[in-house]
Amino acid sequence: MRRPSRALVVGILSTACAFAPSRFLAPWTNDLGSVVWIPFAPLGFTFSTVRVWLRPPIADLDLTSPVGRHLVSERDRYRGLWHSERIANDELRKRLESVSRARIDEPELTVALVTAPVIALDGSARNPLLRIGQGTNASIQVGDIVLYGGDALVGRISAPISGTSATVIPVWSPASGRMDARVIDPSGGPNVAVQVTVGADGVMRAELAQPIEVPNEIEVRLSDRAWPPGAQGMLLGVVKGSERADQRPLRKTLILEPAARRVGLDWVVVKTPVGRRPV
Amino acid sequence: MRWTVFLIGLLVAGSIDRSFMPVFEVRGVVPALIPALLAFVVMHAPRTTALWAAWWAGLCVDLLTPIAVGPGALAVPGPWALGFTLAAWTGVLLRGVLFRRSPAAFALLIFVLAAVASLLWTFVFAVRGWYPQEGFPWPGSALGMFGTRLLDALASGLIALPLWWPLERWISLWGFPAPALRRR
Repeated sequence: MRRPSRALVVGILSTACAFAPSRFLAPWTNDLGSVVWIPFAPLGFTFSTVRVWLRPPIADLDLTSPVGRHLVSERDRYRGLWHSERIANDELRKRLESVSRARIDEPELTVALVTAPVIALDGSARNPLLRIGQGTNASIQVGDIVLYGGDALVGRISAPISGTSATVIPVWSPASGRMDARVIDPSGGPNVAVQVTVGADGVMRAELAQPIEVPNEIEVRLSDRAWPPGAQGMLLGVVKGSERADQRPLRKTLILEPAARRVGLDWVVVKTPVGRRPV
Repeated sequence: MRWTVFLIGLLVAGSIDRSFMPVFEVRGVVPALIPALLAFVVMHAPRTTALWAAWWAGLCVDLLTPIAVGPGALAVPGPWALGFTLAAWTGVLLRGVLFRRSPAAFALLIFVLAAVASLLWTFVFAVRGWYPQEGFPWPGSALGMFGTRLLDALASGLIALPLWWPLERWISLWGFPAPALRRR
């Protein structure tokens, strides 16, 4: 019996491959093509570089065509989704940082931390108030303290309070009254006791009992027994300057900038006593 | 024919076709050098050698140029291999009436070879287009695609004209037999 010639076998195989459905070819031909490309690759890369140098590719997609419009709308949609996810991510990160920093500041935690969005700035310019999006449903009650970033004191919860929202009297409101505090010198100097008040002009001031120099950007932290334990040591503000009152020229008054006011308040953390049940 | 020289030629022509020739693209028409290499071999090599060279060159082109089939790209071995082999057969039949020492005949042979190979390539993919879940790898009709391929063939013939002189000059490197001996 005569053996079939090589040409016949190759011809039949070529025809079979040429007309074979893709599902039979897909598992191996692309890989085989990649292997065949190996000896061509060095020259191919060189020629590609020369080609791009001679004729740089130009974007020739017509954005007014149906395909172009579809691509643009898809791009915008996914760009919007990406931005909204990024914003949601940022908010979650801020909340997480606030909670984790508050926990570090109070290792023997006797309070529960409730994150709440700032939903409105109520009150007047002279008597500012904040409205937050958590209330008695989250065990928040009048007198609880409100922080930002886990360290900066925002104020105290005040009436009116509902199940889903609560009012905060910020520390930069005259309604906060006098607050005892300490000027904390980070270079190890004496921690001077001061009394912090907010004037009718809305400026937070601390009167120094001793004639000492206090540089700017020094922190002033709360040390007032009238406030709950969770508020002690929280940052009230930083020194932005000093002045001398005409009536008492020997006493220096520090001008403070409230720490929580330095940032755009979006989320705050409320410290509520552990074990309190929702009202 | 010295196969080493052919392989080197195929390597260079294949690399240039895939990586450099799009620089000459005009409205989707891209010339190629492999048909020129094939035309040169068909013009001078024995018939069997020319057919095998055409088959190998076609197989390389098949594997190096995946085609959009169905949802992805797929290298289909066969269409160019069969097309180039058929083209080489046509060339072997035609070469008796061509004046081998003429660059115009060389360009004409390139056009004929590329056109015949394109005809078979288009036929194969037109048949495959009727398979379920595959579709045609071109946006318009098969005739339109063949028209574009004919223009490619024309461009290949024109662009390969300057190649004729160096190929003829170094013809001795290829080890082709004398015309009287190239029956087989």
